[in-house]
Amino acid sequence: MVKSEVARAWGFKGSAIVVYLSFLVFTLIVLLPVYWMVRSSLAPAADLIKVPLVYFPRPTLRNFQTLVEQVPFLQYVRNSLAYAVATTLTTLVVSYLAAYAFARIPFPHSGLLMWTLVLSMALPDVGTIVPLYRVLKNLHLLDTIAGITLVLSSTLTPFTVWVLVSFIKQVPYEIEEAAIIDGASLPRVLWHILLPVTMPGLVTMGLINFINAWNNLLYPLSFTTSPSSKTLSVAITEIFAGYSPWGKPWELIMTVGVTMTIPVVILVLFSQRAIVRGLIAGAIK
Amino acid sequence: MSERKLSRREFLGWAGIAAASGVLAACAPVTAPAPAPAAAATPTPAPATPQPRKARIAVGGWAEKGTKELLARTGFTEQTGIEVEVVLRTDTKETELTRLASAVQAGTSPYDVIDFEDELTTSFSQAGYVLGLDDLLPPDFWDDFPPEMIAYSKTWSTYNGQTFRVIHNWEMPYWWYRKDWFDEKGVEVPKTWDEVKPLGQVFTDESKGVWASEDGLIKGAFLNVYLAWITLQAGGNPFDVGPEYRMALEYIYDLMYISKVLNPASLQKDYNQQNADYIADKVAFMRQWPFFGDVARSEENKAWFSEDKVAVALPPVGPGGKSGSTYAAAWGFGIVKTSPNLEEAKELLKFLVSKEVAIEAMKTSFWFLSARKSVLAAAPQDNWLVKQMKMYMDAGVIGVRPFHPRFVEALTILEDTAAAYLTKQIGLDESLKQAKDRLAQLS
Repeated sequence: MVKSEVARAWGFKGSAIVVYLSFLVFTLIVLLPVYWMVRSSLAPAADLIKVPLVYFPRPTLRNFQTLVEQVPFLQYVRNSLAYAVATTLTTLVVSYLAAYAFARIPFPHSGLLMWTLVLSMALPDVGTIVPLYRVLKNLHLLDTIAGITLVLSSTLTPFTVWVLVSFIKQVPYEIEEAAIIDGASLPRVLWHILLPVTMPGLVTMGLINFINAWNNLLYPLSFTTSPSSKTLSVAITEIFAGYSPWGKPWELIMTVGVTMTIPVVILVLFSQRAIVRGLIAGAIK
Repeated sequence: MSERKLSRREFLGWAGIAAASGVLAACAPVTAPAPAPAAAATPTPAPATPQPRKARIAVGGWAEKGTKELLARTGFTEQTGIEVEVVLRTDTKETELTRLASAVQAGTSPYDVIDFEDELTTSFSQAGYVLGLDDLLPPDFWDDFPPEMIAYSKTWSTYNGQTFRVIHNWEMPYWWYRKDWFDEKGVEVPKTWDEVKPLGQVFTDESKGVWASEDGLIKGAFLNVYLAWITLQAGGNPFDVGPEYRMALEYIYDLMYISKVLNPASLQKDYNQQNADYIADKVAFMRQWPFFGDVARSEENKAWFSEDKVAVALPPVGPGGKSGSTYAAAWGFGIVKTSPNLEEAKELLKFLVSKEVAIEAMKTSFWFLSARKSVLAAAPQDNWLVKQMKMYMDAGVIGVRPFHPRFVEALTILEDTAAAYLTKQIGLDESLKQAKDRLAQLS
């Protein structure tokens, strides 16, 4: 009897160890490319390809310095931030209002309109480039942050609307009704009643949209040319090895990679709680 | 007094109107403003302000500084009144194709003149993205070019008989070798393919990771360079998948696995790794582009460098004869057909490719060095790169880079099938059959 309890306890411990070890291995596998990126950004170029591999090179910020000297790096960082923040805000505002309309206001063919919106997500981005180019050209928005913001916001809006509709629908309508009876106007209902309870959803979608915009290459690559509007993702395609096109400057590419990762990591860390709440809210009725 | 509230239906209506207005405004074509009716109050129209003339040129990051310096030094703006903005193009043909394709199809272009490579020239000229340049060039223009450059240009810069790019940078893979090692071992530089094979026994020491030769042969256009180089030495074009290509593959296989000359790990290496291995004293000789000379002479490798470690000889002659021992690749200027500043672009291009400016360009940066007669004659004769280029030109060893009309797709096919054979996954016959079948589907 005692023997079997000990065995059971050991069995439990054994399975727990296996589970934790698996997690550890999985985590290492996931983190290895991140480690390699950070390591490569802090290492001299020669250490990247040395055999045997140099796992812990003497760190240097020389690569960051080279980047600043080689491309208008700080300008690109500013552009990326402006693009990502503006796209996120535009998408959230437009989508939130549209989602409210879909969730709360019955109007003819709303279902069809919603499905049309959702179906537009299936359009491959690259297939819309030429007409978008014409639109931006006619609006004189080529080679501007405003232009690429407009384009990406329109691409991200359908998915954001789709998600936010389900968030808004989960909020009992009676709360809004009570506010309306108390004399609240529609903007007041949206701002003071609905916004706080749907905040986790908005934060989650905001973060997803920010990451999408921050990493987006296609639109900045296609619609921008001058340093005043190019983003970091385009910078990766422009950095060069030396005085000729031969060879790849992996240490500099990794340095841009690290720079692009930092804001996303900070954002995720700070909004972790809201994201989890947002994800759980979507899962539980 | 009761405040009127916005109903949901009104909200929806207004939002719909606002959205529709935005979309319609975005789609409306920009039209010139209608002329104002003649009014008695404005009898004298204001004089029209001349629009500033401008042009944009897109160059690779490595050429930005040199191009700006060249334009400033030669006074292009002072002479023509055209302001030139130098912008960076991307580092890869794929991204640049993405950028330009959408712009051209929308009837415009982000830049007017572009500095571009062989692969993009093929794609752009066949797609009709770039302007034919023959009318812009003076009748005696090509007299300043040696036959090798003319032959190259006819193959790589023209389409349907029209020139789409004027090359300014023309460089070839050189045969680099450790003269100090050759002297120490008392062996001669190999003159033929057959003389290369015994060098495996002389230099290769696998226990120390030292190989007689190495290359950057990873798939993604690296392997293709070597396949083209060796097949040209065999006397053919790899894209024909003929007997010369078979001979080339057999030779490479022999170098890797029988003679033990060429490190098979080359198939996983790029040029950075190849250069690093050479500088780490692991390689006795190799084929490499001239940028290796800059790498070897860089501050970082100062302690290692000496002239006898980076000596250059003529490549070993293959069955195809001396004239195809190596080939050159090039970069050059072209004009985007849908350029918004077409006239200015034409003036800029004519200026850049003129004999006088081409010489000044070479003096500004060796990125503009080529074997163009006036340029090579004006180049500093004691410079290592100029010496190498002259040596190869004088020896008559530069053939035309093997061409395929759908180069990028074709090179992928060759690389896939050749790599499968060279890594012993399939036999030679199967590799050749697959290459031939897949290339046939392209045309």
